[in-house]
This record gives sequence, structure tokens and C-alpha cells, in this order.
Amino acid sequence: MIKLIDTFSYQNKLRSVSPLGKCGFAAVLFLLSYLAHPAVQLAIGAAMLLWTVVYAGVPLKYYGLLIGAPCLFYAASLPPIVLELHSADGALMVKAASAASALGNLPLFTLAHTTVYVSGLGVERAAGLITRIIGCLSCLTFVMLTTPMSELFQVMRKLRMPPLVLELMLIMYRFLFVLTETAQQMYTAQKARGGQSGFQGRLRDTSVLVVRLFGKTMQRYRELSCGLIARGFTGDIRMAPYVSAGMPQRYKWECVLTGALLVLIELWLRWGDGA
Amino acid sequence: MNPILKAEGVSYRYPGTESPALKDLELQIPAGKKVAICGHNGSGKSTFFLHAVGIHRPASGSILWQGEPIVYRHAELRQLRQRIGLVFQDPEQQLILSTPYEDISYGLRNAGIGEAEIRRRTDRILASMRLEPLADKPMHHLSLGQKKRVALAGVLVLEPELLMLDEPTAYLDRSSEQQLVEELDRIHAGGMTVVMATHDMNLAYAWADWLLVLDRGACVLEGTPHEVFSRNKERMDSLGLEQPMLLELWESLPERLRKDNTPLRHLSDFKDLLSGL
Repeated sequence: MIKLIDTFSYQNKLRSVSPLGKCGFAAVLFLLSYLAHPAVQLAIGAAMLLWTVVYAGVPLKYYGLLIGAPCLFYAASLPPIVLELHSADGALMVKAASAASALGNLPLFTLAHTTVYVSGLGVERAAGLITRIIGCLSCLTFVMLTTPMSELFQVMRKLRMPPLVLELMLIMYRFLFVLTETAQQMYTAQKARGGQSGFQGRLRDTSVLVVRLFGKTMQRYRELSCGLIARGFTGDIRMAPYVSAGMPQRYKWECVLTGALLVLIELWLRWGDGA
Repeated sequence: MNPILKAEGVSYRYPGTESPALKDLELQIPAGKKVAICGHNGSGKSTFFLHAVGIHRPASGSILWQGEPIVYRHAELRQLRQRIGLVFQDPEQQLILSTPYEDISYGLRNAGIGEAEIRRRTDRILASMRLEPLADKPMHHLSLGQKKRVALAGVLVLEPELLMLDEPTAYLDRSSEQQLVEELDRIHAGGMTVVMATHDMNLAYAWADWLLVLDRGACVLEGTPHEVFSRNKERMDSLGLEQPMLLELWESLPERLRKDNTPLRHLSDFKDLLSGL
């Protein structure tokens, strides 16, 4: 998955567009989707879908997967949001302001003097949450899929991210792939020699793999520090400065228009009706 | 002979190991030559390289850079490491930033050079090593041969006086190897002293002007490839270092062909000779 994201970020059609521009656009929409009404949040999701799938050329299938996978966490957190418990004699075990909800409560089943309800308020809350999740997620996914990590580092540096944090991220990013590859190779080697078969065998071989990977990591660390010293490492990793890339006029206008339109809709939803 | 780098009685032992990695190593790198350091795995080649750039410090003896012992102080070491370029066997060991362009400019930025100059020099090295198409690719999309070339470019861009390569052709296919050797010849023609550690005897024989043979942490033979291989045949055999194929072929030629000639070191010369018969 990481490899896939990485490949898209380097090969999408929006790669040459100014990273700061893309991040800024996404950041504004992200903020908006945090504050706005559900309808606007869904509109943001749609706008980002348009940008990522149509403009950047990321296949819809993978985009869906990337948006869908984090939604599993949402699904996992649904029961505590939606369900409520009442003891059978009517006393509230979990206080719910069910009167405030138009939907009312729907009793599911009763077990050992406790009734489980689907709370109307909970359902409303869950619906509000999913639109917000989709809005925010699609902004992040847009940045993730259209801006290569190396350019994101430069943006972060420009935004005065502390150098230590940046260095850590840089090294992690660089070695993520080295280690994945090493692990993959060791796994293949184990399989080729008849390992990784059966439940117990799998457990044993995986534990060996983890231990060996740790050893290799330490060895890599020592080698890398030699390599860095030989190249004149002076205590901090100096990155290339941010190079501003242009943003085509068309995209610029579309960014501004999309943003303005969404803000207007939000304002109208908020105050337009009441006036 | 004017040595650019010299080891005088250098001994070193890695912490926690029984036998010393270097044992009274006496060795000279002649300035302006193509030098190959041959020896088995564990003969001390890499350890010597790490001593040369001052990463390891000899337990006894000293390393002399242009006649002066290395000073193990921060500022001096920094200068030394700009003048001696070291390319490791595994490029993963020295590539740190995420794209070739950024990585190549890394050493320049450490040296405190201005951005405009960094850009100019990086562009030039990218062009001369034909790395331009790779410049903005992520490092992990590159093949091993490409990574090796990026690592080499990152060292060369600093314009060192001495270039040291640890097993540069290991794991490379023939055409990448050929490309690398041509690159090294071009660099050498520009006036740089180039040292290569290798256990590929064919390559050492064909490429080097000067050969050093290391065994168990000591330099046991040195001289031109011809001297080392033809005059010390038994010695090389006892060290388990095979004869280069071209030299063996040469020695199997009839006496009258070999009489007034020095042994040929290149396949193309050999072909010419045979086709002239």
C-alpha cells in the first residue's frame, strides 16, 4: 500500500504543480470540512475526488480503497456512538437526550434486564461524523497522492517544521523501503527453504525474521553513520531548499473558484435561511 | 613515486573480535595513478578505507595524507573528507536523501557552498554521468547499478583529489560494470587519483596502473599488474588469488609471439594480435 501511494505521488499528472499550492488548497478545504455543514463536507469530498481522479489521474479503484480503508476505523467506532443501554426497569444507565432527536429510539433487544437501543441522536451524530471524515480524508488523500514525499519535506521545511523532526521523518521515509525490501527478501528466502509452512512454522519463522530484521537494522544504522561521516555529515542533514514550481492559470482559478463556492454555500446554509 | 596517501605500521582491531583487521599495514597510494587493492573478503580493504577518511583511528601507527599525519580534529577531518571521496560497496549506506538530485547536492551543502554554485555543480555532474533522467525519481525506484552511479556522483561532485571505491563492481552486470569503468577512466584522465578495492582479478589486471595485494590486514605485494601477477605467480596462488584470464592466455601463446612484448592487458589488443597472425 505504501509503495502504491508512493508510486502515484511520483507519477500523477499533478506532480509538476507547485507543492505549496496543492498543500495550501488542501489545507483550506480541510479546515472548511472540519467546520462546515454535512452538505459542504460532501461537496468537498466530491471536489477532491474530481481533482485526484480526473486531474491527477489516480485510478478510481485505488482512490476508493484509500478512502475506504480508514473508514473501517469509523465502522469500528460505530457501536459506542449509536447504541445505548437502558436497564429494563426504565432507569437510564446511559443518559441520552433522546427527546432532542427527531428519530427517536429504536429498541433492539433485551438481555439480562438491560435493553439495547439504537439512539436517534447517535445515528445523527454518526451521520455527521461520516461526512466530516470523508471531507477531511479526501483532502489528506489528495495531498498524499499528488505530492511526492520529498516535496512535502520541502514544504514542511518552508513552514518551519523543526529540523530534528524533519530529519527523523526523512530517515524513516528513506529506510522504510530498504527495510520492507529486506523483510520481503528474508521472507522469500525462508519460503524457498521450506519455511513459513503451517501455523507453528509461520509463527516461528516470523519471529526469527523479526529478530534478524532488528539485527540488520542495527547493522544498517552503523553503516549509515559511517557513510554519513564520510560524506561530511556535520550534525544536521541539510535539505535542498524549496523550489517554487508554477501553477497553471487554469488550476489556480479552479482552486480559487472551488474554495469560494464552498465557502459561499456554507455561509448560505448557516445564515441564509434564518434571514 | 610520490605517495598521496600512506599507511605506516597501522594496526586496528574491531571491538570484540579475536584477530586484528589491520596488522602493521605499510602501504602507499601513488599520486595520479589508477590503483587496485586486491584481497579476499576480510583482508582489510574496507577497514583501510575507513582509516583513510579518519572514521577509524589506528590503534598504533599513522595515516599520512600528502606526507602529513592525519589530524583527528573536527575541522581538519571535515577538510580531509572533502579531499578524499569514499564510495561504499553498498550504495544504500551513503544515499540519504530521497531523490538523486537532492542527494548529490548533500555533500556540497555540508561543505557550506552557496546555492547557486550547488545548482551549477550538481547539474554538471548529472549531465556528465548521464543521470539527468533519474534526477527527480525516488531513490527506491532506482536499480542497484543506478544507485551506485548516484553514490559515485555524490562523491565526485565534491571534486576530491583522491577517489576511493570499495568493490564498485560487486553485483553489477557486465554492461553496468563496463559503464562504470569507462566513467572511472574519464575521471582519472581529469587528474584524480582513483583507488578501487576489488577481488575481481580480471578487472584489476586490465584496469589498474598499480596493484596492492592485502592479506590478513597486511600489504603483501605491490607493483604494476605485470610485476604482481607474472613475477609472483606462486605467491598469488598461495594467497588463493587466481591469475587473470588474459594473462593465462598470454602465457599459453607460443614463445615467438610473446618474445619482445609486454603482456597485453585488454581483450581488444588481444584480438588485434590474434587476427594479425
